[in-house]
Amino acid sequence: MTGAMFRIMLYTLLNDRGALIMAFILPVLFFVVMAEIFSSTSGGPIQLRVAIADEVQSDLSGRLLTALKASGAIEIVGAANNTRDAAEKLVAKGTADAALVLPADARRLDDIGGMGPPPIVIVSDPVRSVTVSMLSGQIQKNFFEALPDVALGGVVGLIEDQFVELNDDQRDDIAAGLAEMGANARAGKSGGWSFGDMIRRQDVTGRSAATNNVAYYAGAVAFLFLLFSCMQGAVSLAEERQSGILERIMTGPGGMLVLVNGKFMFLVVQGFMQMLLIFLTAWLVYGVDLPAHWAAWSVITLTACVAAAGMSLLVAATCRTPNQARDLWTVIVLIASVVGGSMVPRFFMPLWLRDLGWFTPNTWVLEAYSALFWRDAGPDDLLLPCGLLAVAGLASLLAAEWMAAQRAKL
Amino acid sequence: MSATVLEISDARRAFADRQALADVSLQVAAGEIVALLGPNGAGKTTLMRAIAGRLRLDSGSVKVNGLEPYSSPAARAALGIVPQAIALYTQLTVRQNLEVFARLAGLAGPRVDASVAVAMSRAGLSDRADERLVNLSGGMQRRLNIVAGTLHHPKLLLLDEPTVGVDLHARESIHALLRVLRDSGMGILFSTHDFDQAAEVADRAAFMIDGRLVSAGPVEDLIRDTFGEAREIVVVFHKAPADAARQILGAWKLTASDDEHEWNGPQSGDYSALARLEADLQQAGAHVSEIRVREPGLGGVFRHLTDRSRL
Repeated sequence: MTGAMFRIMLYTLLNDRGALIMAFILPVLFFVVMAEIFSSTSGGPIQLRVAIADEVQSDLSGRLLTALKASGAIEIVGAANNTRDAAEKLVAKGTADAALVLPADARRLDDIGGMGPPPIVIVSDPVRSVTVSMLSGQIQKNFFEALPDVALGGVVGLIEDQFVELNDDQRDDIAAGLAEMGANARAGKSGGWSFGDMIRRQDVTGRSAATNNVAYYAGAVAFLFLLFSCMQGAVSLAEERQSGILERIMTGPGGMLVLVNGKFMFLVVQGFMQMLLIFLTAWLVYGVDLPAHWAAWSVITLTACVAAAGMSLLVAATCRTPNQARDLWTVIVLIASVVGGSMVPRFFMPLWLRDLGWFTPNTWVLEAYSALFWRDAGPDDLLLPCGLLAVAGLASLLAAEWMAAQRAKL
Repeated sequence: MSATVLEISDARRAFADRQALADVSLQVAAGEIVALLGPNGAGKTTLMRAIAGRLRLDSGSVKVNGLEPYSSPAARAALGIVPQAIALYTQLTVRQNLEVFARLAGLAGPRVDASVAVAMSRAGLSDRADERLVNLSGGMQRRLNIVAGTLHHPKLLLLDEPTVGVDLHARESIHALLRVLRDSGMGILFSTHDFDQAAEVADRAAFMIDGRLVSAGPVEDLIRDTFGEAREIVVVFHKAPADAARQILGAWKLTASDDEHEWNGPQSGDYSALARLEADLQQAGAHVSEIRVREPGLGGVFRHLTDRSRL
């Protein structure tokens, strides 16, 4: 008889084109859009849009700006050289991510360790504060590479001020060396003053960040839509109570258990199919390695479906009317999805919000998928998230059965 | 004599300080239609819930096919339920609805198809088998709602307001369906506020007021017991009559409807006296819109009973 309730849910879905599209087409389309966005913003260099205001117009400022432009790390917006006011306006309007200002009333670029206002000002919008760090790092890199004579000359000056006094011969030798260094840098040859060759980047996963992001979003979007589609199924519990169907079923031999368990089974199967479609798309279109993780993926997905189905049924059984159940579940899904990482990646969140995410199923599901697809986690790593999801889902199911039975007595 | 499929004996049930059922006794035989009548709050729904096994009695007993439905799944299996609302799945077709309810009622295998075919035939919906419920007329939905409660061939069918909100033609088709089910040997108990429907389709009627079963019996007997050989006179006013007119109506032993616009009571013999009644009422300042004489019905019985219960 549980199968009869499963059939009801299945027939209802198959007879309703809108519900079919909502359950299986829309999530895939939504995922593709998200994957396109995030696969194109990861892995490759990020180019900042920068407005330049060079009030100094010196040989040194020219060398620094030329090196920055040649690095490919920035895209110049606005005029080749703006006034400071114009550069600030470009940032305020959002045309530029940041402005690089070399003020006329500041220290010279070669006055390292001197007094007075800094020779470089970065103007940024507070909402894009990350651009300050990015541009600052790029300026430091280019300063040492394009103006090695200035950087090293400044260091020599500091050494002489604080540690040891050089004699005239030594000063002459250093000046000659620095002049050669500057000439080489102007000619585009290595000045021998760069940290670039001291750092080698190594990715822990051996896969591109783009693929990892797609894997993350596959899980995030799939679970978000799973929660929403569970709502449609679970709310029918409240509708059946209101329409009198429950009264009819309660008189039959199956009773309330048949009703709740049949819905639970259907929601789990429907959810599994929904998530499978999204991950198949992620595999076939974006190269997420689903076949290599098939078994573990199935366990994570099954427990995610159990959790979503159980919880949605508990909410539906607790509420008095379908609208109440729909509204409450929507609020829960939206909050859990925002906090849990289905809408914004968890690694973008502040630490306290990440910690709060552990109270949502979304976080456990996403952490399990991340562990699997990013870090090739083994069964031991998946035991905790999958176990918690399964326990939460089954406990919710039991509570839903009890609650529905209590409501039916009223 | 037909077997008794429902036997209620001295059923009592209270909710807080309200006695919802007070010593109710009623029987329904196989192949019999019984109408349960009464005003809102009379206890009809409570009684139906007790029969359906959804409510435990404080005392007394309810037996369906000889068993207590509250504790016996076998008793509940002998019951068919037809709620007042269309208790069907709107997105499913006629056939799909009947199929799933047959399975939920415990049928399996070929019995499902056979039962669905019979139900569709009875409801006159065999040619609409693959249409979704939302595409059916109100009357068709009502008929489907009824046969969905009969798929497991229950001994007793309980219906709550089976014709509410349908037009005359649909109502007649539902009455015909109820007679078909009765003739198949099913005992039928339905609650209604529609006295004309009850008189038309029921073999017996039972009146409940304030949790008590105040009168029950064959429809003709109930009418005869109340009106004898008399006919029923009905006086209709534009607005509720004032005290002077009410005294005149009381002297004629007429009782008022809830809004007091309509008064009725038995009248035999000299109908020419009605002209005097009208003149007296006009003189008392009442604006009579209609006075008529008609064959008495269950509505008159009900007013007589409710008026008596107020005394």
